[in-house]
Amino acid sequence: MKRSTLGLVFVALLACTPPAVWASAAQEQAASQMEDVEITVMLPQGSNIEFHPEAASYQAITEATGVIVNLQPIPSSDYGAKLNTLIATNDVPDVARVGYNSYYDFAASGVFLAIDDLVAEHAPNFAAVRAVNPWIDRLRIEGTLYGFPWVSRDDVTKSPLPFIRMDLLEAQGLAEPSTFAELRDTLAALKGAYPDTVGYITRGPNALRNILMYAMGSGWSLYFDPDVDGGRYVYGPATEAYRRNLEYMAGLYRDGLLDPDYAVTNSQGWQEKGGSGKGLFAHDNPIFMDRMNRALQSTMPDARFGFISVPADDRGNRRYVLYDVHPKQIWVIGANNPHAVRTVQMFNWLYSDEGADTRSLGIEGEHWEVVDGEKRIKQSLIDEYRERGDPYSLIQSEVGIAFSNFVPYYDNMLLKMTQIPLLQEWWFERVATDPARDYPLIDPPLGADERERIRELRGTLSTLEQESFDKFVTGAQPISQFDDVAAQMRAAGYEELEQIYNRAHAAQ
Amino acid sequence: MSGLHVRRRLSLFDLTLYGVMFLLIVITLYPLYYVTINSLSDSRHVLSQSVNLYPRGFTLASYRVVLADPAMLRAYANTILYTLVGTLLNIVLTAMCAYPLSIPGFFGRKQFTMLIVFTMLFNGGIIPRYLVVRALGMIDTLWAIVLPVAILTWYMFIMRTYFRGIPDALRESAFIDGANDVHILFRVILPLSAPVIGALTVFYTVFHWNSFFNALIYLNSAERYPLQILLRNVTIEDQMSGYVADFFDESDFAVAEQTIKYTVIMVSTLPILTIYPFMQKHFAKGVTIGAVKG
Repeated sequence: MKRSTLGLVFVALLACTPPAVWASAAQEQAASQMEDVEITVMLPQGSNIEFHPEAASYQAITEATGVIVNLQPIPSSDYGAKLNTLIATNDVPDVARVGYNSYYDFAASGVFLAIDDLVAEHAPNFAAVRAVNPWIDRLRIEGTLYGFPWVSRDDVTKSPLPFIRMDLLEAQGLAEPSTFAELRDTLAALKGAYPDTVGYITRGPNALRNILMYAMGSGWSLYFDPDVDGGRYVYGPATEAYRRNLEYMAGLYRDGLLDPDYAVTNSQGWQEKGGSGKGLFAHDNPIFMDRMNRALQSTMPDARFGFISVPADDRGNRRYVLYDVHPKQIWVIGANNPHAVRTVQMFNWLYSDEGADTRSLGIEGEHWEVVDGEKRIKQSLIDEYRERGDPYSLIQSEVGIAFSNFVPYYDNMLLKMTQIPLLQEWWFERVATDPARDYPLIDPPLGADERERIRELRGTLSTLEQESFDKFVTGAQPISQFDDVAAQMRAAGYEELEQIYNRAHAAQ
Repeated sequence: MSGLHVRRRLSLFDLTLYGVMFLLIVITLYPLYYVTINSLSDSRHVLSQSVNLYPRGFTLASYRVVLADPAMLRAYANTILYTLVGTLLNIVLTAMCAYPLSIPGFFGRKQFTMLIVFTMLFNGGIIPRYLVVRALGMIDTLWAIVLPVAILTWYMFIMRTYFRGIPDALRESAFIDGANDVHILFRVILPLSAPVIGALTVFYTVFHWNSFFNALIYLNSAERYPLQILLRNVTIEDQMSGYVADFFDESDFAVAEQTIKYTVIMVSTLPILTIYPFMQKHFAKGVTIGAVKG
């Protein structure tokens, strides 16, 4: 048979091929593009969390996106050291969780993937979340976003809370203090009745600098003050309000009402003082109050700490800053990730309602249900884990959901449902409706030169801040010398620091 | 006069000396004792700071929790593996490096020694080391833990000095009998080097048991983590939860019960504490073994 005839026969046979064959070829090509891919996700691991990537809530990622997530947990105590080494050697994993500081320092160097183009094409869910969370744009570095920020989809009002020995107040017939002046007088009265106590206990100087200073009307270092000029960045340690607050703290220290070890103590020492009955008052993360109460009641069954409202300052104003609604962490994609598109598609699913439900709550019907129109973790699940220990940690570990896991878009239902009832009431009802609460602000985007200048300014200023704070509070330096110290800070450039931040903030 | 026991009178100086030494012993041992009794006490008593001289609310609950933790058992196994393999490798390679440097006629001995001394004073740091380990394909393997520290130069010099104390005549007679350098090292020199091998075995064992940084940097899989990484995470996590007013530190929830911390410390250090008295003579000897020649 001639070649031309053979060719004609071949073409004829080809033309008779059913369309289904061609369709299946296209499908096969599409299927190969949707083959499961594996990516590594690096994240910190707390000592009480055990990751279970085989859990159904993790497997759901693979079922929905075809991406197999290999977790690379790093002990949280040394996460920074490991991350910095990998960044410096350009060996960032496919996905890694980084803090804002590392993000700003390294993103523009090329170790993290710029995601804007990929988001525009493959992540409409994230784009929708970004549209209702305009603060995300403050994370742009010279106009480019280099990661997927951790976003909370519910407005959960967590804050440090003051707690005081209620049993001792009742024994002495004292009212709960509602101002800082009353707090000082109350502590003095309790100290007089119980001389072996130490009064105001903290887990380090930061609790005084960050929590107390702000509640009393000033702030530590450079901070955003919503009550100054309609809201601007202020350098606290050079202000008159800061000086008045230092006088207050120095007075507490002088009268023995402030823990004399405040500058050197730590969380363990703080908990031990609270749990042993030496501490009378604290203003910090309220989850520790329950631990202290359990320790107290082992030796003094009637002893207990209880929450009070944040006191008012000398002008009658109450205020306090909430903990971050959206934690300052970003999920970045390593520049060497060979599956960048699939990774972004995975994030798109994670920012969807379905993805967020699965990763925050688990599998519907198995782990969570809708109660009165609200998605809630099954109470039976929580009760089951509570019998074994701390349900918040155990459920996160074994079900693979919520905060400590790989959950870029999360809600706090597990946190809400596993706290003690008193904390649930205070955090999610009282604080949620308290007009005195202030939301923390994400810092505005800054250029590389500005960041470098800020680093230089902060280097000198932070030394002055920390040294002067402790000297003034302990009385090693009289408050009368405050103006001299403020002048030194001015010479060190705090005004320039304010200008940089306020200019960037105004540009938003 | 045999068997007559002569009682020496204690002078004031002796009594003072014993008193001071006793005080030092108490100061040294009390922290360990404190950790032990707290690990055996009820957590409520521990938090209330009422456990100071003896356990209160005696319980082994913390030990049951810690020893039932698969991560802990896995870390234990990893540490034992790294210690055994690492120490064996250390001794063999250290001896192989020290022996030629101990032979007076070895060509280039001074130059090699200077190169090795140079590394004691200068090194590239974490980044170059990581790059080398990665380039050799050792990331996340046992070899990343044992090879970068295969020879610790200080211990190598200790062994070299000891080898130099062995008479050259032994080496020469073995050479005359037809032995090569490998035979001489393993059949003549090492059998005579039990003291220094014992001392360096102790040093290397403790080094590997306590090391965590290389594991942190070079290992990616939690299944390969040694004990010290877990210990560090449990004990210092709450110190690292740097508090900033506007950041809710989730690690606050991760702060372990105090008794768990103490128990993890005990579990991690008990093996070394147990073998130390038996290896003490080697440890004491090892401090000076490389100092005196001949």
